[in-house]
Amino acid sequence: MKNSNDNYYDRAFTHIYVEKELASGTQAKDIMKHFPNAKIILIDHYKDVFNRSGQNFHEQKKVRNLILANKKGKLVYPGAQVCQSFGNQHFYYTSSVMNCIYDCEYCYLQGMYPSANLVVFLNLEDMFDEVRELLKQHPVYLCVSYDTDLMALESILSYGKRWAEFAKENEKLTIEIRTKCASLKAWEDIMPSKQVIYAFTLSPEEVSKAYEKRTPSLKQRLTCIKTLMERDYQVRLCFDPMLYISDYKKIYGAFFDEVKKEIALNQVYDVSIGVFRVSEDYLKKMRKQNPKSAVLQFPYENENGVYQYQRELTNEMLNFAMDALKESIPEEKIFSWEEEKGKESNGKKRK
Amino acid sequence: MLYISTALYCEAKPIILYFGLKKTDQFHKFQVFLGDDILVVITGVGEIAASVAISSICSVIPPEKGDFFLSFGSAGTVSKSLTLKEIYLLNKITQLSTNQTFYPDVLFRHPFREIQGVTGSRVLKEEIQALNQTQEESLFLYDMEGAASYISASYFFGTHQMAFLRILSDYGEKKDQREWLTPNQLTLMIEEKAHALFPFIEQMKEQARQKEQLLHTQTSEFLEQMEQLLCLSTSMKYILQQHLSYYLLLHDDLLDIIKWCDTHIPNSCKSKREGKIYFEELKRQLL
Ligand code: SF4
Repeated sequence: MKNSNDNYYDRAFTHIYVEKELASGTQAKDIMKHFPNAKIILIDHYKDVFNRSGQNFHEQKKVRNLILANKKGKLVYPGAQVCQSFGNQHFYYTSSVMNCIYDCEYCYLQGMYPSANLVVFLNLEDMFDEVRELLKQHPVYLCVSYDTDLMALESILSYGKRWAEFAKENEKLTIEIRTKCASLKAWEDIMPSKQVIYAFTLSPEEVSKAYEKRTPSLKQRLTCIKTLMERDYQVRLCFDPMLYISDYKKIYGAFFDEVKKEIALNQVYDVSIGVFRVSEDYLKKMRKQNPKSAVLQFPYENENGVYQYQRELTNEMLNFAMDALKESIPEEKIFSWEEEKGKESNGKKRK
Repeated sequence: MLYISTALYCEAKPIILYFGLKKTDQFHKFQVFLGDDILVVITGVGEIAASVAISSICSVIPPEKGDFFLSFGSAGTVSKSLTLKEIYLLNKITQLSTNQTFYPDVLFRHPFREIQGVTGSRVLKEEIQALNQTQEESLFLYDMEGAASYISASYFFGTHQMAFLRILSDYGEKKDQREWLTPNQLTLMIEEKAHALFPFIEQMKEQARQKEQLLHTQTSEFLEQMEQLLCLSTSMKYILQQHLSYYLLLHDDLLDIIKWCDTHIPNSCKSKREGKIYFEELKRQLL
């Protein structure tokens, strides 16, 4: 619902729902300390709040509350069907947090989750155990920040640090942390490591301003990336999703120029490119929740259950990105979702 | 529209007077008052009464997408640390008979203290024993309609479109929950809180007023016209509708497109194939 009355909505994290059995634990208390004015509501199970029927993701996103829980059942999932594997054979992902403090109009989480409230799972150790089991069988490439932005929550959770330390203890583990965070403070306590790749999503400032609400500006992200690279952190650049906007060649052209000017592309770990795409089921929900979004209402074509731009347009945009980048970084270091989709044949959704 | 339910007339009276609501004779089983973007229904006491009234009203006058629901009334408590005559907002409502708990979203700013509510089917005094056994948290308000109102309203409203306000009227020491107050006294008690209650109702009403209608008449007419002109199938019509929705987010109206159609699309197509050619061209224009 569009709202002219900005005063109507409360600030973020005014309410913290905590599973009863966790409420008196130090971990929950440490997190709650960050929000001294929040109302604490005890719950039996996070799904009692998170999975309620009749929730509106778009409305909740304007406020965002916090749910502290323990995750039961399977904690680490094979990731090949879902996202870019970057050529990694044993590709997995896990969600220690569900949902994000940023508010990107194109974010698939709107279609995936029934609620925009952030769920933080406190039993990270159980996830570590499950990864250890996998590591007994083979090396593991693990994405830990797909359904959230862990670095943006670092000052509250320190999960980036804990994952990095866990990777350090397990040399066959490589971790990808996807982020749009540009606060160097988040990396203050994290040692650089060859095993941890920080995958920064970059978009032209025009796109970021219009469609990536509450995220740091392009300039801030570039400054952060530059500093991290100087300090030997592994950086991946994700030009994904590219959005079809009027004058896209002019806007994305200037954007690629700016990135190339600021960042030594030949020194980044690798680069990914992709256009907006989302599964049919998710888009249906996303459109319903946000009928005024031009990004979501764009008349995409349905290709095997995945909504995306018309084939020619997709190719045109990807070629445009490839042409802009390939002189600065070897082509084999540029991963395109289209190519990967060809290999996997069932690419489904992407952030 | 803002839908308000109260169990008793005396609880609704200050709202009815302040907002100048008029009684409607459309309903015979319960009293309903209507005004500018606001409706009040007096449900009667208890869970079944609340459910029946809310469901009936919402079936006869179905809420639209942006409408809101407010459940308002008096409540008791066993906790002396809670202040009598204070208005509280319920952020959690437990139904005593089923032990089910409901969580209305609290996304809006409000001046009230928040608390959990417990709904039972008997007056507070008779439920005290059960409450002591089941309620882990000692601070809660007790009422006889909250949970049922949530359940019924949730058929018609989203979790973010419901609010539950209770004014603390007693500590459950009297034989009847409302015995110590006459209806007039309860009305007066609510009136004393008008400075907090009415602005909040205004705010919710204002929220509910903001409606949206994406596909307006001009679009529907255009769509019908193109369906006939270009011999569109149902799926093609859907695709065109999506293109129009997108176009309208970037442009104020369809005038330029209508002008374009006047000069580029013939008055009738000879075949579906010809229609498809123009359909593809029209789609390109809309991007
Ligand atoms: S796209 Fe990524 S950064 Fe944006 S809201 Fe979704 S998870 Fe957060």
